[in-house]
Amino acid sequence: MVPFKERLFSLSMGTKLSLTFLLVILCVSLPISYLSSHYSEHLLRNQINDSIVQSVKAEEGNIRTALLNRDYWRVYRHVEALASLKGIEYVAVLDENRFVVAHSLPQEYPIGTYYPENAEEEKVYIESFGKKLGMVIFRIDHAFLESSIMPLKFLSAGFTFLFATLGVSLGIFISLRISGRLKKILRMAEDAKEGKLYKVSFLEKDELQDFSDYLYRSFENINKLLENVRFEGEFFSSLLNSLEEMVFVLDREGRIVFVNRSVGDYGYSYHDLLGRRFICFLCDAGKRWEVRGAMRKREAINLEGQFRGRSKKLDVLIGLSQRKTF
Amino acid sequence: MKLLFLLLLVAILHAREIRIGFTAVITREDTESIQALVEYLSKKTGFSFKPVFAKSYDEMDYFLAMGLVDLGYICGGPYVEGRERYGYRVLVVPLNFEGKPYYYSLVVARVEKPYRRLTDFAGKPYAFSDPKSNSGSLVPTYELLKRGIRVGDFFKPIVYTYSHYESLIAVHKGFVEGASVDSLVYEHAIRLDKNLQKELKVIERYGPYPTKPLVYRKGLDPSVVNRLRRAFISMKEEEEGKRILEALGISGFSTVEEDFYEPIRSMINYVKRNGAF
Repeated sequence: MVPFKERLFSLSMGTKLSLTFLLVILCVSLPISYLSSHYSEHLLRNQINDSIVQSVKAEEGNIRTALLNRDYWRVYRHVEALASLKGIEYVAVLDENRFVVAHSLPQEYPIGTYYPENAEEEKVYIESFGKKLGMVIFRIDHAFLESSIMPLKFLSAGFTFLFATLGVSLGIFISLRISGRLKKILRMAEDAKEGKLYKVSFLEKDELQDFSDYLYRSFENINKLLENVRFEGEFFSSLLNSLEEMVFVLDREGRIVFVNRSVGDYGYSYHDLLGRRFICFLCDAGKRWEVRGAMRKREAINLEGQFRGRSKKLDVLIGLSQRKTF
Repeated sequence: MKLLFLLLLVAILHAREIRIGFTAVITREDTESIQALVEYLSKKTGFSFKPVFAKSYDEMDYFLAMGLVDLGYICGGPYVEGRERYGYRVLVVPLNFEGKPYYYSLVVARVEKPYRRLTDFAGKPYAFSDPKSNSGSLVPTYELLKRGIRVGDFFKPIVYTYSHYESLIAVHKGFVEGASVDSLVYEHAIRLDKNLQKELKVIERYGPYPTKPLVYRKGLDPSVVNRLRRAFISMKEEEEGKRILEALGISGFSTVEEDFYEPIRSMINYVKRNGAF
């Protein structure tokens, strides 16, 4: 099971970029949507509350008289008018002992029914010289609040969705662009290997452009170095080929990596000898031993011995020089 | 002489204003029919009419007594009690669609409710129109009292709406379980409001009782009274008058004898003797 962190880090650059955009948008948009819808609901609730309180205050005298006279029908007419205000679920007028005088849902709460306290209801007292005669209780219609806030919620959700979609699309676009540019740089590197060096330019003058330029300059330098090496190689091989003596270039293990043209005089071709152990061409085992020891110790030696030509043994003077470092 | 003639001409041209008061006996919300009635009367009598709406029979008594209205459309109950005290008299009485000056007190409930009679409303909120109303208060009080029941203890509570039409609305909205209303107002109301017709039912009918009178105030010029009476009585003979009468839920107007309201008087006396509350 690959740990989540590892999985996350191994995601493609585009996916990471899209996820980052999405996360940022959700982190910003969701709290703003939540706060704005709650604030609007709070405002609306206060507005409804104020409107009914003001209506009650405006009619307080009439309600008080009707309440004192137990004029149930007039009280009911007031209740009905208040209940018809937008955002009100129901309204009731209760006497000082919480018995119903009139309720906008008269079949559920007939006159004279005891009405228990309900924390979700608001109340406005009807008073006469500080004495409480009764109260107007009402409940704000949550369905109305919901339906009023719904367009705002839809709008917020719509914008969140829109921004999230835009964010993800932007992430995908940017990632595609980056991967496209990286592919171009990679192609440039591949072509450079084959000797086709060219500069890659992008519209964006950013780190990738810098990287591409840096890579181009590096390849350019490597090419120059290679050219020098090639020249040196050609120079030295020409030099060595101009000698009448046989010249062998060995690697650390004593394998032949270069021979000059003089080997042709002894029946060998360049390709016959390439990769073979030099000491195999020495006839005398003692000489082989000496050469091997010198190679191990990285010492230069000169000795006489017999070289195994293709058709006959040759007496040769062998000079072994060691290159200390490469 | 010329000045006198001019003053006489101005007096003739300046039409007299008759203030006609309406109470719970009519569906006051039907302003169109009321307007048509006053316009018709204006045309027939040459007087200009101004409708005045009283909140209760007590207020109408006050208006009549103080001369604030000339005519008042009141109920039989207040008429019996106010006739001697305030000195008003019957101008005309409306006729029902049978052409008779009678009406009923109806007990009304919502169609889905199980009530069958007035006595089923024990402990229930019940609507009376005006405390002085015959059909909307006196009749149910009297009928229960005959059974030994006092309305004050019987209904929980009595809800006074001061209007037969509003009593119907109170039943319709479920604020009260039942109501006693004037049959003429009921028929008029259900004709105007189809919801009332569909959702209300008459479960009991008491009567017939002498219908509610249109009275005139004490001191109104007898020639004006006669002119007005003629205009009302002749309404049923004209097409336009008939249309207005039909819209008001009556078939015409007529006059009655002084003792016409005796049945109501005896009910009032019975209730007073026995006490309703």
